[in-house]
Amino acid sequence: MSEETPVKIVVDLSKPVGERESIIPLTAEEITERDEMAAQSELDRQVQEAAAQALADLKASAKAKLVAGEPLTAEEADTLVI
Amino acid sequence: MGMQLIESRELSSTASVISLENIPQDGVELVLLASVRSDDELMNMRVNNQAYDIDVQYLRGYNTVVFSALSQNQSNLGVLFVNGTGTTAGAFGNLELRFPDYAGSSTKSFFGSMVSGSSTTTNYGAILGGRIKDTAPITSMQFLFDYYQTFSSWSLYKITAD
Repeated sequence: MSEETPVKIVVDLSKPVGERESIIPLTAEEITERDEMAAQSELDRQVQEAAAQALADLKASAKAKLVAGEPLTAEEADTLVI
Repeated sequence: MGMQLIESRELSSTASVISLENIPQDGVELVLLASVRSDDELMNMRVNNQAYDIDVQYLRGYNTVVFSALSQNQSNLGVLFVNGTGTTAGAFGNLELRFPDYAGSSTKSFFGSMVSGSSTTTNYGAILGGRIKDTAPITSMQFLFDYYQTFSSWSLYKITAD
């Protein structure tokens, strides 16, 4: 992570072009909110991707067992039966 | 129907939040295009600087895995994945987001797509759509990242009915 002071770029679209932009340092509250939001989003992403990978692995295992004529677990069968 | 550029920018220094305020209310749809470099992985978005209740459905893929995901009752909208080491010129994420009837008084919906740059080690792609469970016109948008890197760029357009 960068050590620079985090800033907010505000673009006021009601102003004439060339006069719209202002750069404002984030408040401590805004930094905390941003960090919490980023952490939660990252956690959500990891959970969703782990679930997707687990399902893909389960399907692959079920397929391999079907081809080999081996019994499937109930969890593997659930990936094939709607 | 016409498509008019409202504003277009390329960052000349790093920033953590980009806030577009006082969005003109004379269009029927907003279109946001962005190309972003960052040391973070997920860009979040809010409208009207409010923690509105948001539902979003993703059809998402990364590397060899493709899946759908529903995120409900979110206070912010995750709209763009970027590889977290995206501080070099070729590592970026691209985004298109559309907000139909953004100035109206109905519940707001959105749809869009995103893709991360091909030079990253993890390639993300997604289609997303959902709704913001509030009827207030969209007058501002806030985009939050750890750090937007220099050369990140975005353009905001409005589609008009005339």
